[in-house]
Amino acid sequence: MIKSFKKHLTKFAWILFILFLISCKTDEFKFDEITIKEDFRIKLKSPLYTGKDKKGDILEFADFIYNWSKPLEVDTTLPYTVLEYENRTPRIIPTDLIFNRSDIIDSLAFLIDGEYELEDVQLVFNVANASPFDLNTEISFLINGIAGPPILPAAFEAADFARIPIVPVTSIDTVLLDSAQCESFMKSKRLKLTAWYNRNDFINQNDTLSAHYPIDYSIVLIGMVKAKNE
Amino acid sequence: MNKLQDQHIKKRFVFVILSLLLTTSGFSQIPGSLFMVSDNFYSQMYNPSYMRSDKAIEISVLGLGGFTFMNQGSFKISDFITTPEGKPVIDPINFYNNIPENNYFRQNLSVPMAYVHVPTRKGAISFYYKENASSVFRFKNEAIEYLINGNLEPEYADYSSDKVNLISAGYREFAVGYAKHYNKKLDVGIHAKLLFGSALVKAQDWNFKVKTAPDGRMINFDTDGGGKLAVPVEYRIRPDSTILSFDGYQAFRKYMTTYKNPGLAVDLGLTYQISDKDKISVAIRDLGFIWFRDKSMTMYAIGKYDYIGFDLINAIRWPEEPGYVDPVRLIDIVKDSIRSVWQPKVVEEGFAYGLGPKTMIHYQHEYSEFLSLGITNQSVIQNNNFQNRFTLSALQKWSYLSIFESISLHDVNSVSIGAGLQYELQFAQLFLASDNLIAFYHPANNKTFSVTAGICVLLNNKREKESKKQKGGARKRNGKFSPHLPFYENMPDLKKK
Repeated sequence: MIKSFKKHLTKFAWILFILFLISCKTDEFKFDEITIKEDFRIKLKSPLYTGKDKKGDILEFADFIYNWSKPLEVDTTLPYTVLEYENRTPRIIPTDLIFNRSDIIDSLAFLIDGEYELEDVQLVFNVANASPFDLNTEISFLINGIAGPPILPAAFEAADFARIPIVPVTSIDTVLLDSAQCESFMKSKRLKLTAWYNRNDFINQNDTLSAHYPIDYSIVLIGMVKAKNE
Repeated sequence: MNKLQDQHIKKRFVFVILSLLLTTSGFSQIPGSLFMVSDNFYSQMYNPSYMRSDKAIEISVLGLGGFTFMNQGSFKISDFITTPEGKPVIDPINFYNNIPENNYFRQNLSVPMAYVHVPTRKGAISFYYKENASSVFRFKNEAIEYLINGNLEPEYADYSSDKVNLISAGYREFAVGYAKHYNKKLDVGIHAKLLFGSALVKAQDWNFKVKTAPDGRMINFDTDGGGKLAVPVEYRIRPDSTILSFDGYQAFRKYMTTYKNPGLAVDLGLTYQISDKDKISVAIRDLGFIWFRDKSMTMYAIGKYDYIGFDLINAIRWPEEPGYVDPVRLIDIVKDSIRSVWQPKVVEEGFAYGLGPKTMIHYQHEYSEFLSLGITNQSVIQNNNFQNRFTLSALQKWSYLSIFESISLHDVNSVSIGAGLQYELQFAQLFLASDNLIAFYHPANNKTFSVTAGICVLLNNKREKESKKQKGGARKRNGKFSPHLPFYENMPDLKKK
């Protein structure tokens, strides 16, 4: 028996080795099969838009009144206001223009689409308003030219012009996007910004306003970043 | 985004982390137990003093020559890619929770394209051509903290990856070797090697920082570090000296036909027969360098950018305003500025790249004709990277079949059990060895595994014939020799005659 075993030892060894290889479990997978774990999220906070650049240039009162690239016809029979500029001739505008909704950005490229999805998106509007009127802004994200559900933060409080010196008032409003807003936010490639001011007594006491009241306007994005697994 | 793009992302994600996790530069080692068989053609490549005990000529070419593949890490691939319900899933949190503070990941692939070993009267001469690709990636667990924590919470607002190091290189070697029986006890050998570098990526002490302002209105991106880069394909450089793109057309063919980065190296080896039963062998390999001079560059990762969001001023104001810049152009500028933080600037210049010297020391004791025992230590030193493998081996020989088992200690963090076999026919030698047998069953669930396999053709192998002659003619003696010396040993006069 032992002799026979020795005689066929080599064959036994090969058979055992082949059985061993056949029984191996491998870790094969295809790249298309790999997904990111479903519940994996990254909590992200990032600036999205700023109205104050690194040179110190800042958005101003006049910027939120009207899209000045469009022609403006002034009906002189209506109440008007004079906007004064430092480096150019004053503008005479209908007073209502300040308080009516204006699309100050009709369509701006919005290119955040990427290899991820966003959940629980919040837009934090941080605005230091040095103008005499409460400022309202509304953002919409356009899909094929059609505006999605508007995102409307609370009005940003006006500065108190009764006090000298005038100190800008900072208002922070966080808007949690609902699913429809979030969807348009993710899918859109264009942005629309509408703005208007709330009327108050200041306009009745002043028919001339500075165009340069600074308004430090910024939007910060907070959200959960999730990889797309489609 | 379409499905194709999605797949592309996943591939990219896997490749960025896993190919960050799979990288080169000369960490080549073989299972320690292979040094037990000096007539194995791989052990001859890894110790120049090894040669066959018979007069057989060894020849191997691509397809037969096999390969050696080594994977070693401080973590398992299955820590990163888990398989809940049998489906592979990238799981960064599981990965983070299972890795130590200091991490490394090494891989090495060597493929002999041609091998010839010809015995001479006093030794042997050899030639081989081998392709090498290897890499090592080192990082601290902090490097992936951003993925886990994000930057929302105040305690995670100041992120730093700490030092990230990567060396990844591909080169080919043409070696001419000579092994000689220096005397009855000592065999010595040398390989003189002509090298050609194909590709190299070396990132040294890269540190990525992301600091978020408490109100979220500013993020400071910051990178520092340096490195070298050499590629076998054409590339385009942006005006800011970062790389715009690589031309991947026929990249593999270009990789395999790059001969513009020459280098030289030598391997030295010796085998000393301490006694009839004991021998020790030592080898020092890859003492040399490669001069990368074609499509080679020095990298400087010195980016810095304060991101405050996309500009609304120019988006609201119109072109007639002084200082107006197209807002879409500004968006591109912001994106390019962020990208340029991560992308190193390059200066096209050649550089010398020193191979990491590798040492091997092996002690072997022949316990019986059937059983031998061995101790092997292999180590590699390159820059700050040190790799060590200590192996205890046992070899059993039955006729032309050799079977070996081993226990290996990899650095100080993992132990593996290996095995292998070698079989010699009259016309060929076949072998397969691994230092981690369990890894055959589940490679991803093991921190370390290597496998080496190959076939070489044997010409002029007379073993089989001699054996047959023995069978048919005089039988091999099985009896023991008397320990007593012949009586005439003590009779000098008789001896003279």
